[in-house]
Amino acid sequence: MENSISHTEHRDDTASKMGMWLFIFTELLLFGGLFIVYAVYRSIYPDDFHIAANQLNTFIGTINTVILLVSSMTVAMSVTALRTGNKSLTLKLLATTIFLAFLFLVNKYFEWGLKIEHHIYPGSELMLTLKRGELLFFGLYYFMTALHALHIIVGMIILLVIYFKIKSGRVTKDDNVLLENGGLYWHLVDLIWIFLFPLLYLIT
Amino acid sequence: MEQEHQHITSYRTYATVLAVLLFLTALTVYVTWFDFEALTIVVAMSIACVKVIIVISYFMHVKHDKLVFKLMIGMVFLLILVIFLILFSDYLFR
Amino acid sequence: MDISAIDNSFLKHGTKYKGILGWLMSTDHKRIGLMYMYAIMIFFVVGGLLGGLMRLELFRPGQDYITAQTYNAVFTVHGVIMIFLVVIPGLAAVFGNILMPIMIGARDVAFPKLNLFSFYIYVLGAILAIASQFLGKGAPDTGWTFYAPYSTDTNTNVVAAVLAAFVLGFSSILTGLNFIVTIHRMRAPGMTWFKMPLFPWSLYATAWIQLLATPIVGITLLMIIAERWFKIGFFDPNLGGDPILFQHLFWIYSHPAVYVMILPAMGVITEIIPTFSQKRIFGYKAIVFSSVAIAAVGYLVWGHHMYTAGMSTTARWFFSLLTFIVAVPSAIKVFNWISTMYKGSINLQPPFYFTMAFVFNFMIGGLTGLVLGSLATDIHVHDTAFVVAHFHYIIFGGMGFAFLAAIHYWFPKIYGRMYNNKLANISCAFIFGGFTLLYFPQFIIGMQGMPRRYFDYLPQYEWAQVFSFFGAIVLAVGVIIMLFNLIKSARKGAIAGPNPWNGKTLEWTIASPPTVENFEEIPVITEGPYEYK
Repeated sequence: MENSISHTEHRDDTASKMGMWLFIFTELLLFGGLFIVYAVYRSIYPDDFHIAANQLNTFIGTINTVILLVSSMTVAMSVTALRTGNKSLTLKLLATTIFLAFLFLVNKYFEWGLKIEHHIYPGSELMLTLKRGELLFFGLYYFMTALHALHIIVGMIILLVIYFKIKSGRVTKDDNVLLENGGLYWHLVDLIWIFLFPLLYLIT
Repeated sequence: MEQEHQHITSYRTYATVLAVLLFLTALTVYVTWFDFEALTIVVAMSIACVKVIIVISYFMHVKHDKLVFKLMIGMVFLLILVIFLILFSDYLFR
Repeated sequence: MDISAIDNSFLKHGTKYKGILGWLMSTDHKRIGLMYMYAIMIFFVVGGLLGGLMRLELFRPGQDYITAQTYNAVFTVHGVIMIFLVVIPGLAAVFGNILMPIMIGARDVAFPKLNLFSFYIYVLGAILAIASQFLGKGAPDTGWTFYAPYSTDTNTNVVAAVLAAFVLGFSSILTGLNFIVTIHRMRAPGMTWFKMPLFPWSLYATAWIQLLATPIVGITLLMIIAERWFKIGFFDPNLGGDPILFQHLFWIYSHPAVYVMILPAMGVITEIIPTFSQKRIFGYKAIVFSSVAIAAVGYLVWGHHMYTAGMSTTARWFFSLLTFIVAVPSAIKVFNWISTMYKGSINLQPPFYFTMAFVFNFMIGGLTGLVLGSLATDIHVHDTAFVVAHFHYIIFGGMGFAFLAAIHYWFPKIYGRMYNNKLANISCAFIFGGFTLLYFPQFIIGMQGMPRRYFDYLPQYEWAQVFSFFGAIVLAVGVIIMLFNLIKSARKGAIAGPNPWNGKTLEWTIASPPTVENFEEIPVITEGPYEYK
């Protein structure tokens, strides 16, 4: 440790990564709270949940799962590409990831649009006539997927920032912890979806 | 401060991991066509857990990280599990 | 002694900017800690005045000065300010920020910019909390717990208050995150986990609770907002929701939050007692493990706030058992403190008096907690003034007194000057006396059935309310004397020197006040933190 002053300048990648992981924990607990609510109401209204879940489009859900898994792989590969010094491949892989994230949101848009066309959205007249468990299921469906979509958007912005930082050479082969952390955040979005997908689409 | 040794995972490994994850996704969709009654949720959640473990160990490369990361992650998932158990000591026995 | 130490210190030198910007934009952990301290002191006075207003209304039975609705709003904002703005950030954000990096031999926290960021999130939350009082259709009247379904139905401005709590929670999370990484990565060479002083240890345990419990209340508060705006019905029985689930989710955070308050307080006490006994702490490892055990088990006892809410009997047994278990590590700490004093060379100074008051109050608060933790007695005293007295004994008598002890202990380190000892002792006597007079009678009338959160009461409780009122006045006088003493001494007090108490932890080895960099050279640690000869 040098004697000069500047306590902000020394770099500790493990610390940055640990910080990112701790942040991921808070996100997991945030969604954990929602999963608790889901589990409780599912245990109270099992039949209503089945009926309501039947109305979700499993096909779109599955497509979105595949999209997220592939994007997870591309972002993981981009770290490898950067560490082996292949900058142009890194950028391509990141661009692919961001594109896939966008595709996910487009799918989500159509899925939500379809539901809203059928007058199933929070606060609609039809919703209030549904059975209590169905109402709660759709409430949870919108709340959980909306919060998840918000994380996708945040993740896209983070990856976009990192993309330009790599392009301008501020994130490099030897100083790549930012990309790694961005990747970790993106995997978190994937992790949550891995649980959301069967709980919302597959319990019929 | 020492810079940690960086483990570089090969593209091939990532591709293999993706293939496994896609297979598990297909499996979890496939099994819901059968009705295992109460077991459906158990099967679906078990597959999801396997997927999560794979994502954490390979994509998030915890497999090659320091022990302290593994301990922290384990602790957090254990905590969530315990919260569920305690909470359901209320809802299952009302 | 000369004044050069103060001129060279962080108080006079910013990191990047000069003047007021040097404070507002500073990433120096000591400056951020001090900004928290000033903000917290202001909110403490505001919250205290609101408490005084309630005592004034309760002075006589019947409606005297404020209406029932105003009374509801007053206890809500008193709770929100005191809990979210004062005691939760209290010790961790103030003394944790100022001293924890020094005590582990670091120049700053791991993420200094994030540290400043969390201060501004705190400010934003504070602004929201204040705005909630004046915007919309009237001040929130739900109590600081925001219990559903009332909080989703009432027309008052609940959303802003809930949002404030959410934002403040986020600030708390980021502080916790910063501390965990700092303690993991930035300990001085040679400082193994078990050579670390006990205040950082308690902050470490606290930080994990902040990190892992706060998100749950965050999502719960968001659900309240969603329910108000979109009629989703998460907690509305008319729409199929379960209001008890709200209580579960709320207390999953808010009970651990009590440990966020009290654990650093225990840490402070654990620093002060060896210094003023000039003796090594008794049972270092027992204290470490009890901190960790309190954090771990304390996370799982949330249900003891809900015995009468309609939980299953199984759950109530479970929570009662866990509550009794969490009392064990707390008691271990008290035994350790007392054993440390045994045969020590006790040095009776103001911080030590505050510490004694803490131990005394904490024992009363803790033991009455067991009355509330056991199923049968809780039914009797649930939602009475007994509960109010219990948690004020823990939060004010415990955490509050530890905060005052910490100020008096580290004041010479932070400002490089010494306060008037005699005045400090007098203020301690007033605060302790006033506190006891204020809250002890509430135990008694609580047992007799005086409900909490009522603005009116039967004449038979009047004697206690009168006692409490005068207690509040004595307490206020004590606080005024203390603030006068501290504010005056911060500018004009005698120069203190680097180590006025003959302490052994690292902060006493450097100049008072510390320089911007804390250490000229990072020390190498070879022995434990409390090696008194």
